[in-house]
Amino acid sequence: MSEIMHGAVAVVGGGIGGIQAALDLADSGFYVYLIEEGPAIGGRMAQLDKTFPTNDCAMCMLSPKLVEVGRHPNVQIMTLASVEALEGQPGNFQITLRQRPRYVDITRCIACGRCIASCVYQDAKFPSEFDVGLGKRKPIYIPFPQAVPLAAVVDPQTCIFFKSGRCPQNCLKACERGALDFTQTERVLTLDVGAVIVAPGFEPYDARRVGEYGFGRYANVLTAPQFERLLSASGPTTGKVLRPSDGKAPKKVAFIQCVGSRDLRHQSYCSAVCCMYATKEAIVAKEHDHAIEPTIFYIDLRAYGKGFENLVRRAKEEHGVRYVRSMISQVTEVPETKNLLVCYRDESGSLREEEFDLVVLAVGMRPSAKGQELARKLGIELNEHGFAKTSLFNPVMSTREGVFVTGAFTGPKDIPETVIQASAAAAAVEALLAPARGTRTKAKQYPEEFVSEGTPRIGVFVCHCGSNIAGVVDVKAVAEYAQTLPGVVHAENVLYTCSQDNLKHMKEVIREKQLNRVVVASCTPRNLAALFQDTIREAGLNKFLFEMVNIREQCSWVHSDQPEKATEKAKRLVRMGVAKARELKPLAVQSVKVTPVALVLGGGLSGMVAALTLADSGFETHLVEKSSELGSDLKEIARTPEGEDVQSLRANLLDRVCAHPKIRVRTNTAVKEISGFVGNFSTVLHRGEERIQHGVVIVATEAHEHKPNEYLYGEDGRVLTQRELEAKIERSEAREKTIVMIQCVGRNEQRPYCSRICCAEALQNALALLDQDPDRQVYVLYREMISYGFLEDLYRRARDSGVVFIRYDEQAPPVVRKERDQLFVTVRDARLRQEVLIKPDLVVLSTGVVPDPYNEELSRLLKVPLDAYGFFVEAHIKLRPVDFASHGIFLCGGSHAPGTISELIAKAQAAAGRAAIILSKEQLEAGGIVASVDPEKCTACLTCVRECPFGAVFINELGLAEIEAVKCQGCGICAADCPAKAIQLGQFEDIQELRMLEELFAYEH
Amino acid sequence: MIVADQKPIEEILQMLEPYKKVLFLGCQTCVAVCMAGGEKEVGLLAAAVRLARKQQGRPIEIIEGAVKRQCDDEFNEPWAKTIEQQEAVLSLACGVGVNKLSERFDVPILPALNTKFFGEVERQGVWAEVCAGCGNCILHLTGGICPIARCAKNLLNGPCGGVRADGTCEVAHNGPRPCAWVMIYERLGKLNQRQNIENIFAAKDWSSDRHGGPRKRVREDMLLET
Amino acid sequence: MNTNEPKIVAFCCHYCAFAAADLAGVLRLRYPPNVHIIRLPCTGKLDALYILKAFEAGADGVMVAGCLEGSCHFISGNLRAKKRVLAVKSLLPKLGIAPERLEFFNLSSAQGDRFAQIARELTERIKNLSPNPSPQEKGALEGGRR
Repeated sequence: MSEIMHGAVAVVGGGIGGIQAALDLADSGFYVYLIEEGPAIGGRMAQLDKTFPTNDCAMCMLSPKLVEVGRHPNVQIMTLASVEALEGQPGNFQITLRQRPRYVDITRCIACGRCIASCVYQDAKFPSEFDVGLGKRKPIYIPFPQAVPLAAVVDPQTCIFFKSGRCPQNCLKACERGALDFTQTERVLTLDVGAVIVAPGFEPYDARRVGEYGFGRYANVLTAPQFERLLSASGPTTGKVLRPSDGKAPKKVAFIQCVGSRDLRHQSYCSAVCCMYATKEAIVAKEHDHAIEPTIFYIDLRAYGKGFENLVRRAKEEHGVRYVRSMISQVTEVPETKNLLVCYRDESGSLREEEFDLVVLAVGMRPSAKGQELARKLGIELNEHGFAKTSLFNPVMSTREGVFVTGAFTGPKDIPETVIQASAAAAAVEALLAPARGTRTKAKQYPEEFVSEGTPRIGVFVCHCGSNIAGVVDVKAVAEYAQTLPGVVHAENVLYTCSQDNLKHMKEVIREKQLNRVVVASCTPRNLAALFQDTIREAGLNKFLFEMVNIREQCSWVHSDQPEKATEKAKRLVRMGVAKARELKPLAVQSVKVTPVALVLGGGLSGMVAALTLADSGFETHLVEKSSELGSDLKEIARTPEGEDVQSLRANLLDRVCAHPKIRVRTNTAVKEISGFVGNFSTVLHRGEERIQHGVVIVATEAHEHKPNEYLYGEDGRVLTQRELEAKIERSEAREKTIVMIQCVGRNEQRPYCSRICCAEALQNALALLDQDPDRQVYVLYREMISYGFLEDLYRRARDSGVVFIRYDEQAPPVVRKERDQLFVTVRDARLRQEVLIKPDLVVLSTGVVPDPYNEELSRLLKVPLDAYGFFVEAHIKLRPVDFASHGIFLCGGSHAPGTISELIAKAQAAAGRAAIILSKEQLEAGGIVASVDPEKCTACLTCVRECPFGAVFINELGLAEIEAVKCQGCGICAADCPAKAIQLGQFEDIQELRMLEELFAYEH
Repeated sequence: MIVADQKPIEEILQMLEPYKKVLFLGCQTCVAVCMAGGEKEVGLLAAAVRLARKQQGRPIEIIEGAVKRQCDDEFNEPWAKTIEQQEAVLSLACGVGVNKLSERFDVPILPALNTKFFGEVERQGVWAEVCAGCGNCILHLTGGICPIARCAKNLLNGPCGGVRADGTCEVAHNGPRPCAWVMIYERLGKLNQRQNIENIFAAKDWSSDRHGGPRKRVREDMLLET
Repeated sequence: MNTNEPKIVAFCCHYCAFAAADLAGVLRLRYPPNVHIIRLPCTGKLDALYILKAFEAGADGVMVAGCLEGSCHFISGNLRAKKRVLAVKSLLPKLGIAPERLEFFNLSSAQGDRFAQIARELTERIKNLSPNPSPQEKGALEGGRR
């Protein structure tokens, strides 16, 4: 470790993982360079239409994150940049970057698209990277509508100017902002950083290499990423599913799974996400066009994550998606129709040929070529599959100290796992650089707010946005009209409201004319409202005395064919904005002090890792365990399926936890009562009625192996669970010759979820049994083999070692019986459609895991939700996997969802990292756009208390409803439903909304 | 609390037909809690009536207001001047409020609600009748479950033959509901008071109920007049 | 008021429908200028009163657009809004207002084209109804009562 320590971090890769890591670090006191190879951040997630298992819109979730990271004062986004070298040591690295020219000044570009329209290429001609080649772009283009940075980029590979030097450069003339600059050159720069997070993501497997499916030769064979773009409303067909060959809507669509995955000719591992994304795409396609009949051809259906089982069930039952278990050896094209013939083995085992209109290849994930190059430059090692090499117990640590790796760069994974690893990597960096926290970040200073009550004095700024607005709307007329409205003391039209010189001018006008409200009529408030609010705040106004009117995206750009009507509409919108401005009130933002102490509930693996991560980051942590010892969940596990020694992990964790000066452990202790809110919780423990003050809570309860009551378990000593077998093997006590393992025991209507870890446990034990004695006969009776990711190699080894795998149907589970002390197992082999009889010496049950029963009490105490099976429900399944919806409470451990040890460690680190964001702040801001109760009117009917999704409302000592500003998220549900009209939401008060309505209709030209 | 239901809008419009200047006065207590006549409902109903009348070409002028409790004169008094200037008042209180206003003001007071029962909040949006206000409480003998309010026949010695195998009552016009006497039986079991079920109640004296005519309660020590 | 230029108010959730309207602009889609958006933090903030007040103020049509079901930024706001809109929708005919004038939509922020399409269709639909309040409708209502 270097003596010099930089409080800055390089995050390489601007996908969802890189963005999450950057935000977590920047929010907890570190300066971040977010380095992206392409022209915009967003990564693969930006290209998705929906995400499984909830089928949420991907862009809806991602876009706010893009804006947030783009505006973050402590994040510098560097696009078109790649890493050249990394020198130095942890704490004091020098990272050298090469940044290619964009030929567009992003500080000037306003993404109006005039350059693109004027390009000498009249038609878009080059395959669009964003649309995976299905759409076209020009040499100058905006990567996608929500891109950050939102600016054009020139591709010198296709630009005539760079290719021939002879181009009229219409784009240069068309730009009203002088943003284009063809003299830009590549630059090389070196930055001082304390640590590096590497998140370059993955590459879809190149379907051309799987020649038998005809991708690239047959027009109607697409890859799943391409199909995703077809489904996207912002894609090349605006969301219509159309065949590339003839633009017609396909009826029969075939999905072929495992393209490039689980195949020794390509990649041996399972890509882990394809079963689910194909299920999602099939459902979404059907939603878009009901006539579509999707068929998914698969080998094993791996629906092993939270909520996945349910999605597959819905696909089958509600959407009529057909699943056919068959490997596809070949696809051939019917030349006349360009339809495709798919040959498969049907349920009865006979070969069939079926014609489809479209074939979608579920291509797997592979390590990107750029990622491999990057690894070389950073001096980190890769594993045998070409992904970053990590250890199971340190899932985000690379082989070079101070360099962390996350996301699909470490192996195939989905979005939540990527987000978890990103937060985990951020947490690891925080622990490493804790002493340098806050040394490179800046906090802005503002002047005192002046009292802005009294008669409204409104200033209205109407933006030309070059010709974007002024080219359609008569902005001068709009400004003149605004001048006539009551309360307006200043109105003007401005070329670019957002330009630095105008922002300065705006502050001057506020002072000169003593404005106490500001209205800006320009583009969407979603991008720039925060900028203007910051500007008026700099001029001493409360930032909520601001209203933004959208006359670009929602007026000039959509009504360019009707300029007069657009001008009228702009006037009406401005009139509405001014009406609202008249009613605006300054809103107070209070600072709430944070108690920089954490409470971790649950002293298993996850609790210990979370506590250590927090304590290493410098935060005092209370680790509270209900049972008599820490780490009891690991006690029965000897090793991981990959062979790592779990007992030494446990011993190591116990030593570190007990020796850590910042961790205070309490065993045999349950929680009696928790009160307070984010930053300031107060908890009473049962033992000794002790009270702890803390700023965050991490719920880290684990899940336990289910103890079955079927298959003679508990009646016959020869029937064991997998964990019990593992212990027996470890003690070298296993002598039995014929062993039958039954998977998915006790998985029924009440407990339909996949426990994710049992197949790997079975494989591990089966291999261990054969290692000890190769003459054994081991049978695994399974429903689906869930050997996702690199576990597939284990499955292959088991098959090669002679383990017999027999698949049974969910409806026909195996039967175990005992006759004259002999055990018999009968099972109907679903593939051979034959009954099989085995006389085992030992029957081993894979029973899955169940959440800790203590969760119910915790759920009540913390007011956090449990799902139908007793697992905790996170704030958002994709992007907030370790947060609860209630602020300041985080979750990890098996009681969130079952997972492998490695996955649980990453999740625990992630929860600790998210919690550290709060603890690293001296104060939290509360208030602003929050709801508040008028005690005069409140009748304590409890409607708000019952409805609030965040548990922010309580009945106070006066017996009236009160809203905890720190917890309130500002949705307004309570305000809208209050039967006594006692609740108002700041910035969206009824009077403000109703005045807008009145003024809209009062307008007559 | 008193649970009430808003009358159908058609009926309200018909009541208001003769009037052009009306005060809509809500009550912020029971009927606010049961979402029938609080300030929010006043706003909605007033907007709806204005809209309908505008469509009919016969606009109506409505003043909107709500008082803490319409069953107390003092809360209504601040509205006295306004009320006197109206052609009518539409009260969104329970029937008590309507009576109270009618006793005090010489303006037609119209009921916007149908007052229904004393009820509990089963869950948000659902209210159930659990007390009949009969004036002679026996809840200590029936495990806290009132057979007068919750048995369709007000039976004191139930259940009757109308209880179905699944424990619900044959009278189900408000949706299926459990037989009160089955509930009492089970509840008594939990309280270890099952022997109570063997008690034979004498015929109920209904004189304390409405059957004895309008009721009044006086508490002498609290009277202010000498 | 010109009968061919209905005024339509669109109450849009900041996170989805408002963003979808922005995207419609970015994609330079076209729809009639009759639709005026009022931004809400969530459709959960939509008070049923706003709908009635909009009609009272003279709106010819009202649309409310929240997130796709299951995607509400605030968990359940869009579900609450939908119920409120349905309640008002069933009330409208009793007030003499065609219920077709009010519609609830679920939109994702990526559905710029759908927003434009809805704006076009709703404008068209309402143009085909007579303006609010219309002499025709008034006549019809009185006729019905007699």
